[in-house]
Amino acid sequence: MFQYLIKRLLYSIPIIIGITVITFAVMYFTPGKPVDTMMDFNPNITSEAKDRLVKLYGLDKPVHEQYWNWFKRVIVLDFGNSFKDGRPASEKIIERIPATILLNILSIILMLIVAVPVGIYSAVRKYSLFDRILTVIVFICFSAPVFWVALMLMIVFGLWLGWLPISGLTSFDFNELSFFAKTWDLASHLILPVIVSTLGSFAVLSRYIRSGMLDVLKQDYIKTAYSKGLSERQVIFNHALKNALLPLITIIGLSIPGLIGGSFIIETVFSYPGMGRLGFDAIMARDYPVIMGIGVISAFLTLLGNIVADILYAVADPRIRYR
Amino acid sequence: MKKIFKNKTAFIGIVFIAIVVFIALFAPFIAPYDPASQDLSQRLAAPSKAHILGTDDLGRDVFSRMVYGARVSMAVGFFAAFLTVLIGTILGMVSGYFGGISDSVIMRFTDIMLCFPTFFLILLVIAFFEPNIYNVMIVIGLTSWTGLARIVRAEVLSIREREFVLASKMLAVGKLRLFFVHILPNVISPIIVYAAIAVGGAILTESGLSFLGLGVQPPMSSWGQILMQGKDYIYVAWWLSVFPGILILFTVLSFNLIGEALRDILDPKEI
Amino acid sequence: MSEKILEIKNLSIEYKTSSATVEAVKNVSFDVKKGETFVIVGRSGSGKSTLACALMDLTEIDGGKIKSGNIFYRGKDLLKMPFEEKRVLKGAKISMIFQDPQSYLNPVVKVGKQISESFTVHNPQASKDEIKKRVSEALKKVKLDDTERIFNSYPHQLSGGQKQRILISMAIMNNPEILIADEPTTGLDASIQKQILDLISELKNTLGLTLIMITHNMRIARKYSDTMAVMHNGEIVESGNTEGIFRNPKDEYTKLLINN
Repeated sequence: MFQYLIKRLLYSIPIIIGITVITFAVMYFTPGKPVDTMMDFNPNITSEAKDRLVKLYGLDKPVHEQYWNWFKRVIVLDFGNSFKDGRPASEKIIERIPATILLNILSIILMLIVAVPVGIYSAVRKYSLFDRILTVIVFICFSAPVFWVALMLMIVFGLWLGWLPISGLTSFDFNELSFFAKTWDLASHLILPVIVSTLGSFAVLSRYIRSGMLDVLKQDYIKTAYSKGLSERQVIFNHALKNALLPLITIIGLSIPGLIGGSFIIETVFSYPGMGRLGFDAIMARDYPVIMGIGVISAFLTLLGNIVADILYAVADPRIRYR
Repeated sequence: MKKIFKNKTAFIGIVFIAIVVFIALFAPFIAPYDPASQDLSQRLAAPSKAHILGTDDLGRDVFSRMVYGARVSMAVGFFAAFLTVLIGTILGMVSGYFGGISDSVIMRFTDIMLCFPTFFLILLVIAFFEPNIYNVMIVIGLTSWTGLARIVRAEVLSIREREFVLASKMLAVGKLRLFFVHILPNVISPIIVYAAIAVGGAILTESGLSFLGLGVQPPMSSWGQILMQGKDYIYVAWWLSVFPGILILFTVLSFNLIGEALRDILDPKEI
Repeated sequence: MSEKILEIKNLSIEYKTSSATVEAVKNVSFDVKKGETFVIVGRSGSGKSTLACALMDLTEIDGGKIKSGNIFYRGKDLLKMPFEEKRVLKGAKISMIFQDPQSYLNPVVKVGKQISESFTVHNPQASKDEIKKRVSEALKKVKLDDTERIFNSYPHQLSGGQKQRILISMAIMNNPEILIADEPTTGLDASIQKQILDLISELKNTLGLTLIMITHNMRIARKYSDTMAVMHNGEIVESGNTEGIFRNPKDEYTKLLINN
């Protein structure tokens, strides 16, 4: 178990280096170097000042040296200052992370609540009417553009029915509200973004669970369970469920980049104050330090999520736990 | 191949895509208006006989813009999927067949790519390079191959161990011949399935990029771009948001249904 | 000795694959008498395991379908019984042990829970002490010691022989009348194979079981059985007293098996 942990952590070192190399490469090979962009922000910079900037950022040095200097700063989460307002990029990103994590954790929870029973049920009643209808819904969820679904929900619930706010995370008068009003205010702002970001992954997950469950139901130990005289319910809950749900831990870990990627578009549609929207604004403004920071941080978050998922899996699966 | 036409849902998907492809090819003959021609007296007109799906904020005919948008979606979808399949297949095969160092390098690289939110990478590259249809195609293709590479690698690994490959190795068949005659035909099924789904995925990504203003640029039109305008006029012009979205949904759905049907036909073990 | 405990009449079972329908068991009939050891021999693919699974109502779980026929247990047709009525018999009156013990134990459930479940499912009101007593009795019968450790283990932590003994203990937990053993020594070391077979035959005598054993091994068939049936391509080609068949085989296929 301990050895497994160490191995897992060692394995992530080359991945971390790879993440920084790719982020650096994207920036290095893009036309319009950061210094040019900086001059766009401040057109009064003289060419002399530009040279000084080039020196300051070490842009006159060879590539590998530039990378190494940048890498040393990235390790301590120093991405430089935002071109826009001069604040440290890491500070700007970190203050937005809680909102994004809140959105994604709520999505994962909602996804599990819906996808697990649905996937299990449609596996147990394979090819039933329910299973068929579900398959259709899953395909529609999987094929619909998220931002369009967001627009439609905004039209229906925000404009026609007027039940839910359609942008932001809190109302303007949030600070004057009572505790309960605050909670509802927050919740009502979260409902639509959470539903929208759940849709696609719900579809994939319920399919995974269905096929996983079908696979488990064909296993030999299920025959043993039936031959003991267990009822179908007992077989499913006492024997099949745990085996079918174990791989879920890994799948949730793997779905993290998709969720984070999705938050760029969802947060933009709902004007939700998270990391995704910050990233989109930074990309539009070519705010290099913030962009690079978000690239590295979201890849790190993904890696962290995968490591946590692997460890949880090892804890949950006795075949790995006791080896 | 006959079987796919017997599968009802897949047949509907094929027919729908055939129609969209037809529209894309013959757009100039089908569109009643020039998609770029503005008529400011007809701004944001609701659907009517003259403009069956209404007009946008510059008085352009939405139906005509959607007809021309089909060209963008189809071109991006097919080309990006082609690129995806090309890269994924080659990397997966090299990794699975040759093993050793090339395998570890490729798989580590795949793991690294899997850590990045793909959509963010695409946004980033598109924003820094010029946003245009070619860059969109290329970037989607360059970032969507990871899943396929893993699938192909796993298939090749299992086939490589099978007897007939062992036998041909003993008979000293050339490596290249072995590759094309014995391995490629056997991994082709998952590749075809992946390709069908990749086309749908690429269309979705393109529409998302255009929706954020980072896809195809005006005066060219794409479905996602109409939706972008729709978002700004969501209070007054619902037709801008509804119709292109439905079209994207049905197109992507068709590709996914075809992919699923192919999976059933080509790989009956899977359920 | 002559009471018929199980009567199989004209049983046909088919399996549907995506390309074809295979009739795995074709119009099979035979009787099993109380207290005897009945062995079904045949090569793999002859339909003998399919037949055994049908006796345990496992055909549908396997993806097969019983096309026609009857299985009478004490005069009642198992195939016409409602699920609940059959459920009460399974594991209590008729039980089964399988080939390859590794895959027939749930990998993520503790062995202790899997064993005691065999008892509790038929005695839901049993007290903790009662369960403990019954379970340790069953483990003693299959000659497993170190029960405390085994109880808290997961299947992958045990040896193949231990796992098969555990499966046997689950099968005899409720003192069944009929025990079906489907190739009970597959996947075990040669030295353990004999131990397991001897254990099964010993249990048969001490508990007064009717034993139905499936095997491909003619020597095992001759050594342990009273009556035997030879299966080939889903059909029973010859059946009757074991010694009689070995001395004077009538069917060509039986001769082939004996001479190998």
